[in-house]
Amino acid sequence: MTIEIRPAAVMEQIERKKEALEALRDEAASKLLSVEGFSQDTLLTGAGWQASKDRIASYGALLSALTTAAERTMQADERVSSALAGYFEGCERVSEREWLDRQSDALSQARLMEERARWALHGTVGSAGLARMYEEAAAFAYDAANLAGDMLSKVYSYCDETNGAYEGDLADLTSCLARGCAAVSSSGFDAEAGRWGALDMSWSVELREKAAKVADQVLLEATRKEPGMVCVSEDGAWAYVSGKRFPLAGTASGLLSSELIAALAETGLGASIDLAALKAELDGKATASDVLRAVGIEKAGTYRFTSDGKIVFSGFTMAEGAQKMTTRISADNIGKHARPGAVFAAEEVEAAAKAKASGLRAGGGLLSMFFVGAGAASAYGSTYKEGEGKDEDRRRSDAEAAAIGSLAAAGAGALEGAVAGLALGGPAGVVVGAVVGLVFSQGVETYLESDLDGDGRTVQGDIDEWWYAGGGHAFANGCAEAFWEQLVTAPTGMAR
Amino acid sequence: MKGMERAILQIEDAQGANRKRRALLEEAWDDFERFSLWRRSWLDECAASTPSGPQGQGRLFRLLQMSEALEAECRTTVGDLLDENLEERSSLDRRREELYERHLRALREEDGR
Repeated sequence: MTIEIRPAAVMEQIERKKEALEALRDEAASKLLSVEGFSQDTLLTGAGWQASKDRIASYGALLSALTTAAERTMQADERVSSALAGYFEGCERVSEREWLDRQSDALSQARLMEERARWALHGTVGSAGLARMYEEAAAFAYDAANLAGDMLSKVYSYCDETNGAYEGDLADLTSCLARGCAAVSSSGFDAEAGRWGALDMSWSVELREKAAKVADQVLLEATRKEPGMVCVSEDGAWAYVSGKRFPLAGTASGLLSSELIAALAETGLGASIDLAALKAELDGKATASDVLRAVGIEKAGTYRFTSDGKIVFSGFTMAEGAQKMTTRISADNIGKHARPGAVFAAEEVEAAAKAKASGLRAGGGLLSMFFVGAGAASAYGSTYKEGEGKDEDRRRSDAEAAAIGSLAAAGAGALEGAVAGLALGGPAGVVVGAVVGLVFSQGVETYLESDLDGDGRTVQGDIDEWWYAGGGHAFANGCAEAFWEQLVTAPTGMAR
Repeated sequence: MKGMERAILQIEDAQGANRKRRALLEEAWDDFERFSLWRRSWLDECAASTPSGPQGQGRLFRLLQMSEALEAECRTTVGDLLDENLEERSSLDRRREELYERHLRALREEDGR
């Protein structure tokens, strides 16, 4: 089997795929934020909330791995795309077999012309002029064979550069992701047993390991183009510069190791931020944590150096509640005298305000779910009551259909979430699922602008009133507890 | 008389060599015609699957120019050799004719005596 490449078609396919992957990555990342916000909310307590938090947190691993897989796939696409542009720009189709034939054909012609050149010099013909013409024809045919050879080299180089781009760790990750998704979707309702299946989480440890491995590759690949990146996780800190990974020791001098400085200098960035001077200033006088805290980093995340000497942070929990900020790195703001958060006074105030607003939105979104959940539970209860006299199975199934119908009216995301929440059991699962679905699929902002309780005011208006009155979380918790009570004693015979 | 007959025989030998050379030149002409057909079809085939840019289409274009120059040069070189051969044939024909007539005249004069 020989190699056949269709550069134009592949590039077009990659271009189309890129849009879908970007949308998938962004959606997964945004859902992950919602999941993390919800599952880490310490103010929402009680059995109902805890059960839904646990289930939602388990989806977080899937979403995180999905984001990483999408990112790595896009990098692989980019590698294939740039190799195609570099080797075969403007070609509709490149076939190894055809170029092999052309090469062999040209070599045969060249040899034939050489033979005829010797013949032309033979006594019978005796023409030096004719022999020279044959030699020139042979030279042309050798040039043609060389061109074919170079095309074949391009084909093989392209294959070397792109073979396995989607395999190895990425393929392992996607296969593990598929297992996780299958486990989630198979934890559905068992009609015969009359209960919801438990969620198999055996894949989650493996998924986290594989996702971390691929995430490492994503960072390495990203820094082949970007000047540099530092990633701090619970397991330690690493710098990624020009596609190389540097472990960072626990001290400031380790954080700014000479090897890292040399690597940064190679990118041209070292000179602009004068890391050598910084290192001298910090050496032995501060720990890596001090340095990170000085630039506002409190928890794991990544930050990257940009070509204009700035650091862009992402994924960190910043000091003073700041979510994201950009600043120039210099001895002034990353020195031994820097106080946590002191460097970013103005930005921090703004970021903290944004963080608070984001917390409000999350709380409001979750509260709004009660209206949807209450609607579903009410539909379940009333349909169950109306079904008095009917066969018990029929009665339950009608009531479930009514609850799901009510959720569907609230949005497709609620229905999806309802299915995802089935494992929790009975109508409780449906309602908790609704929370998942609504947080996942529609976003809290949509609900903030909705009038879900029909009082003519938006949810945001309702939330603001409750929140600022100081009863926001108390109301939510009380509501959850009461709601959970009502659900577990609902007339389903499946009390938890 | 004998010298004249020898001269005629020598010219006839030269005419034979001229014909043989013409056949070889025609063979060479056919070689270059076939080569020209091959290189045109080879270059045409390559055009669609050669990348744009100096290392691809640019190189193919240079090869095409080289091939056209080669074709013109081959036609001129072999054409000139064929022309030379033709001139040689005419010259040999003329000389043979002259010698033959002179030989006939000499035979008639001898008969008259």
